[in-house]
Amino acid sequence: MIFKAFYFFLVFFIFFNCQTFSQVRLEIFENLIRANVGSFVSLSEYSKSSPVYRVYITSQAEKVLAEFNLSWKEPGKENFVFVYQFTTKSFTPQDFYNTEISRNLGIESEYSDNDIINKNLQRGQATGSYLLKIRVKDNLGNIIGEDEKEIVFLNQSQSFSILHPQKNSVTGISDLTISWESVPGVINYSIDLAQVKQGNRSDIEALFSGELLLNNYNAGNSNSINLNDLLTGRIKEGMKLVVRVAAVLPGQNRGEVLFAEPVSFLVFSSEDEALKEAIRSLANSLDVKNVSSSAKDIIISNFAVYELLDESGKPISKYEAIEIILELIKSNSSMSGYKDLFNFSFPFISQGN
Amino acid sequence: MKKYIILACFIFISLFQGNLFDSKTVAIITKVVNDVHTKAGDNSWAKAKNGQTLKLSDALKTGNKSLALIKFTDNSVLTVRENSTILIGTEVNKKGVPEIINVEKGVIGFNIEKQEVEDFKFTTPQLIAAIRGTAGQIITQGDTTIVALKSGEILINALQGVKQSSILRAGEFVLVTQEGIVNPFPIPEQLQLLIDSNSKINLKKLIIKTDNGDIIIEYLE
Repeated sequence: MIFKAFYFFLVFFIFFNCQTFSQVRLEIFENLIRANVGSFVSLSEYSKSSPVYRVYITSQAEKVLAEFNLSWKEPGKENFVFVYQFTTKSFTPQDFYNTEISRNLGIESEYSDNDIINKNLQRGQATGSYLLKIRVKDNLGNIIGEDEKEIVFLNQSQSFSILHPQKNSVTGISDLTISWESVPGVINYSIDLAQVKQGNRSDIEALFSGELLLNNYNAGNSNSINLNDLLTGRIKEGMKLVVRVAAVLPGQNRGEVLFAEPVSFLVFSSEDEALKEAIRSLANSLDVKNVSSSAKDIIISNFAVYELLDESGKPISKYEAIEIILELIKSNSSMSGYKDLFNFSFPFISQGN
Repeated sequence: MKKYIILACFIFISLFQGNLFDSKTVAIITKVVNDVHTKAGDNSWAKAKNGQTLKLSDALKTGNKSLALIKFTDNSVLTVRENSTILIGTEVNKKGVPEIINVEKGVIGFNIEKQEVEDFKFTTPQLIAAIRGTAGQIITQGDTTIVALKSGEILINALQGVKQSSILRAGEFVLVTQEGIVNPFPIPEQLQLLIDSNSKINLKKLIIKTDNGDIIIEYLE
């Protein structure tokens, strides 16, 4: 009888100890993610924004490490897709916000799908379902606890768009007006504007680079701003800009924020200038072997374009040509990391008869 | 009229024979862009043409600004991108498809029909990829091979170093070097863009007429 009682006590003690000293809990601040999805889906944004989740770790282990995995299910899709995973360096068990991970814990390894991250950033707000998993291990690799949370964003009924400039358009330097659709009940509109530079992996990334031309500029409840008035002399021909407009609505804490899809555009005096600059940019971005010397002679000269044709001899507009060339520049720069591995011969620029 | 007679003869012969391929033929070149050459056995390289058949042990190479599409007897398709060389193996499986395609260098897109028993194998200096029906790309140059998979599964066996093996699943890639480590990862954005770009097979031109002469931009769409 005494032996039996001791046995039950022992089992209870072990069970109690496990429950008490190895706990991992994840708390997600849904409202903050809704307002700024970038702070949740982009690891590089973690330390720049307000916290969007907190991790509670209780463990007797001297040192632990945490593995995070975020996946996303687009509205209307059946399956989750991978967004990112990362593993922290070894640290003393503690509670922390996501904003403290890089600074206090350190990141050992990380991996992300930038395509999916950009897709989320371009939407401007959280959409669909997000599944965040955390697994905490001790130094021997034993799992001491794990937790996961799924958050679903269903309310996608309200949205608004930037009206001018249009996405990927060419805008005259004398007409730098940004305008957008009205949002009923708005408190104010907030504008971010950045220059897209060559090092940016995507246009949207420029908005998170920290070098903004307009940073949370409060436009009141007006539906437009003029960049020539706000940034006199700072916008130059040839610049590629990306703008994001946020509508701040009444709500808890700092209010609900609704984002319009960011729009990027080129600043030039005319489509002619934009086309010439696009051709020069493409030629500069390609390997020397992909641009014939005679074509290069024309490109560096002060040439004037009088006709544009496709391979079947069908005329195409300057705007279409600019779009094609910008797309070629973008895909060529994305392949730059593989140039040592493979001898790309497209696109190729030559002189015709 | 002449065109229709030729087409009718072609269809008649095809029906009579049961398929478009004779007993030794394993594939047909369905698209040739610019500089594509083939070689049978020890013969010298000869310029390839649309509709040309390929047999066991034949080799195919593409030059600059070139590509070829190859269709096998079971409707599996290979896209051979620029500056690539492949060698067709010496044996066929039960479906009449070569057991092995040796990728010497370059970028090869594949869309392999489901194989019943035996695998369809790609070899490169670094690895063997055994496929039973799947789509993806192989990029091999020097001492590195990348295999990226769009759908299905592939068993990857490294041929050098520690000779690791692993199953590659849809949406994953491996980069195998002389070290022989096979570690699948999700395909990152840059590689995905490269794969998307490599999947383009239609040659397009943008002709820009200027007062200083024409500029021609050739690209794939």
